[in-house]
Amino acid sequence: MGHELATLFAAGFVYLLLLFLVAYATDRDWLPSHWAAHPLTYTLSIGVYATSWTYYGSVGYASVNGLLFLTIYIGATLAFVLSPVLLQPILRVSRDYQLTSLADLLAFRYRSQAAGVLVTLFMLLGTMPYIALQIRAVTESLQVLSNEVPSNTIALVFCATLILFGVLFGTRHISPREKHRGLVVAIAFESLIKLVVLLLIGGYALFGVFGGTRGLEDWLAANPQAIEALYRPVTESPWSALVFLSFAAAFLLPRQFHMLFAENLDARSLRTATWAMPAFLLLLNLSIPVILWAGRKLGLGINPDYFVLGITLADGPSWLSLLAFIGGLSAASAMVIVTSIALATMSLNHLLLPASYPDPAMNLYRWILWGRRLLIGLIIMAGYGFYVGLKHSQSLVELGLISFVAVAQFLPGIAGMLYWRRATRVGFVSGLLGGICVWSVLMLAPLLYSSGVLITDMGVPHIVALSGMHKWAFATFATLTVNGGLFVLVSMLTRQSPGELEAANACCAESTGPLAGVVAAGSPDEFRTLLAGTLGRETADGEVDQALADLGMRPNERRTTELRRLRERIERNLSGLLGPQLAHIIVNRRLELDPEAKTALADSMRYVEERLETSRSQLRGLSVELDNLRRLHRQILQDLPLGVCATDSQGKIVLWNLALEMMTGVDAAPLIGTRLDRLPPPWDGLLAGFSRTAEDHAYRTELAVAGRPRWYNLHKAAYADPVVEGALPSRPGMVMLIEDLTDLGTLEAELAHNDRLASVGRLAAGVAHEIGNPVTGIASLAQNLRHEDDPDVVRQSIEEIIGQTRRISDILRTLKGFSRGSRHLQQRETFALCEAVDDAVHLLRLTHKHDGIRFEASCPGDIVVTGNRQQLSQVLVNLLANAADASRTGDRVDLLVRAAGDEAIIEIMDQGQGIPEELRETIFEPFYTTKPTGQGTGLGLSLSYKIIEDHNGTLAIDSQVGLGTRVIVNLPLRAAESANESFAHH
Amino acid sequence: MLPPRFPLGRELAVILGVLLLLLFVSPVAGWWATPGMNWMTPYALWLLVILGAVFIHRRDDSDGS
Repeated sequence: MGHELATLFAAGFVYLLLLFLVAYATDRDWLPSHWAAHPLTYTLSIGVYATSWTYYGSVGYASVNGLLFLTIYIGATLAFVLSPVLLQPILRVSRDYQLTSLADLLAFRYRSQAAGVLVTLFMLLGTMPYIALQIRAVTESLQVLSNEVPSNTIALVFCATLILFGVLFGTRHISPREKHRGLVVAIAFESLIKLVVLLLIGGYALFGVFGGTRGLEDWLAANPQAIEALYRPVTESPWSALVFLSFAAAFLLPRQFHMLFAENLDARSLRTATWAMPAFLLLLNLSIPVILWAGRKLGLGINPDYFVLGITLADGPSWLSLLAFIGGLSAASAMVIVTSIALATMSLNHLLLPASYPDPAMNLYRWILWGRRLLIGLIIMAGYGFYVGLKHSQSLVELGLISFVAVAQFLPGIAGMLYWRRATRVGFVSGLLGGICVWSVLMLAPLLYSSGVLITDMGVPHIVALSGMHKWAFATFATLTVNGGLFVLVSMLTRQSPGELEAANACCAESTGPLAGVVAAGSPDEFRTLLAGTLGRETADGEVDQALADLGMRPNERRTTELRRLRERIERNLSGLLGPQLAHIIVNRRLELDPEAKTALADSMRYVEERLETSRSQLRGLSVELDNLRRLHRQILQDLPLGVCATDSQGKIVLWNLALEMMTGVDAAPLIGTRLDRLPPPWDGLLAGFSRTAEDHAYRTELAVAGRPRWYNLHKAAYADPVVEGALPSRPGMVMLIEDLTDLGTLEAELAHNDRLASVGRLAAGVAHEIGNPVTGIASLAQNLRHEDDPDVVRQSIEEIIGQTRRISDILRTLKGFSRGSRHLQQRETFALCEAVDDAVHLLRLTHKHDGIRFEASCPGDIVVTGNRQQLSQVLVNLLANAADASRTGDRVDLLVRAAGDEAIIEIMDQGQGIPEELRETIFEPFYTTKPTGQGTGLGLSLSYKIIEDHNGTLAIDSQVGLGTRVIVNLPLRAAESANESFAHH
Repeated sequence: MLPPRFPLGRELAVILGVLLLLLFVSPVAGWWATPGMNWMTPYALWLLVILGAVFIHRRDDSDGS
């Protein structure tokens, strides 16, 4: 039973139309957007690994080589299991530097256009047989199903359809940052189709041909040689070689690299693929032995490569055979589409652009777009040429394995990229050339010989026979020994260029190297002008705008560190367009670095910190400890309750901590890299001015902030940059501490004000009491006088009234004098000390706060001092009040004044609990008090100390715990004229 | 300060890779590749490795790394 060729052609055409529809619907957002971003969609898209080789060829390979077909998937499983140390680092580098192909990656790592050219050419050469294999699988499947030999026209139509698909859905965007979601979903759809169909055919083989598992077991029991043939090759020589080859192919084949890294929408999807992809491969291969045995049981007389079709044709429903054909078509078309897109990008970046760079007057974006489209067509047609030119004597698997050995030649270079910084460009190119030569002799030459292109097989079968190894094992061993050996040996003998070293560090996970150098161009506009010379005005504007947007940078940015970052971002973005090496050359040539300018480590601090933040999860061992230490130090600086500002050797700000942000209201981010004199006012004057002074400290510096005065203490110190590897120590930078005193001063003033209010309150109460008594007396006397006629009594009453009013006048005079003192603090006079003593005792008594305390004052009237009477009275009030506060009810407080030499000595003694030794130093400090909260401000004693000091006197404490305290005040007696002048100027 | 994250996921991945090599590319393969064994034995071993990868993936996810 067969199908008409036209029916098959129509079915294939409808299927490919459906594929177009799926891609188109995704691109137009007709399908939910999360479908494209789903990890399983990503996993299925990587399933492009399984081509018609898997779909058809595995059964054919199993028929001759048993379980050897599994090696192709066990090796791939190994690559995915090792994803954290293999695929994820490659994905990181690819995304960071916008590398879209293996050629990009290796050209970037080895800073070599030659490496890119060589990889691309070899990839083209190695992949052509593989594309030819897919076309052949489709045409042969048509032949099997229709029993007709299809003309090359059908193959040509198939190729043309795939070219159309690749052009429409594989080149929608030219920047790698924009992914081809339609392509990804379409390829995932193809993987799903081939998986489902293969499982259906496996199910048919099991239940349709064998009648269930029991039937299969019975057949296997009757044919023990089937199991024996399956297991025999496991321990033979090509087994491990094929595992190794497929391990490399799983991520190095152009289509694999493209779907794994270039079209990856989310890095987390790759982590899901570590198990989901092996699971997909397992399901795909589960049916293979059953289909093979079903073919054997049915006694199919066709090539076992096509048992998948044969068993459905023999006895199955016709729709199943049609579906089987669609499954094979999907496997082949997916491979050709993705491979051609990947190779087109590679060829454009590494062959076409370096060979014929377009005129800057042309639109570069359009040129690249059409270049890729043209190359997709050329590559698929070249594959068609291989298909037509090669004789079909090899099995599908053999053609595929030739490509596998080819891509394995990139493994040493990848290993060097990931884990060997010492690897050099010359070493890589030498190794690759060696590997290509051996591959050409061992793999390509026999293929061309068998196709009649070459007239000799160069004795390869003889050499392989002499080795005693299987040809795949021998080819793998020979190519990689030559390749790897040359790679290591030449790398050891040659030196890396600085560019190579920089790229090697960038590829290494632990690398967080700073950006060296200063760009000569001074603004983004200058970047545009310079780049336009090569890229054209439109492209240059587009790239600079894109890079500015990527970095969130202002268009008028002028900071050198930021411009250095902008330059690097432009190079990365151009790398996605033109390939890393061409982008590197253009940026180096157009945006030159100033050879005179030096870069301090501090200049790159922000960059280094950003890199450390983003790659923290990749740090290992001591690096993690060092990073923790760095974070701790940085956090300490950030959380310091003092403003911290550090500048580098060129006066540019490298640190502006949180306290300083809050103090100044200026954010750190836009400041980093600017000079202090570019700060907004008034901070520019304060900090830039202080940085220029010779003094390391400035105390209580007044600054008008928002129209209000504020006070700051400033401190600064020089620091030296750590010595950068191989560089001389640079000039020192500077660190400044800024302490805001304004709040402290305000608090002091408020407390003093509260203290004054409390004093006034107490005084007012005392005054009311004192004046109240005589007023009551006067009122009583006045009442009595109304009815009194006796002149003597009237006169006596009047005398008493006058006496009471005098008493009131005395009280008021005392108060007046005290208040005048507050307004005339700087006035001095010569007065008898006992007057101040009387004032103080009188005032204290007026408050009635210490009514239970006896105040005994002894003051000779001839002791005269010069000074501010009110201030000294206040001191005595404070000291007497303290003594009274420390006393118990009934205690006595003595105040003795005496003259000794040219000094007056005032002693105030109480019988209180005394002052402990450890507190005697601190009681003079402002705001220190031992009294309960709200009863003392802690200012009295410190103010008294200050006043006595202003009068050139001393104040000392002599105290014994439990016995009492004696406060001794020494004041100069009436001073000479010169001393008076000195005081007056104080 | 957070304690340094120990990259156990990477190490488990390498251990799993070594296990795969041990099962499929070592003399151990000679043990299961005998006619007496069920033809699905290599698939079962393969599934074992996949389950190991699932375990590592879930562990990494729960770490939030």
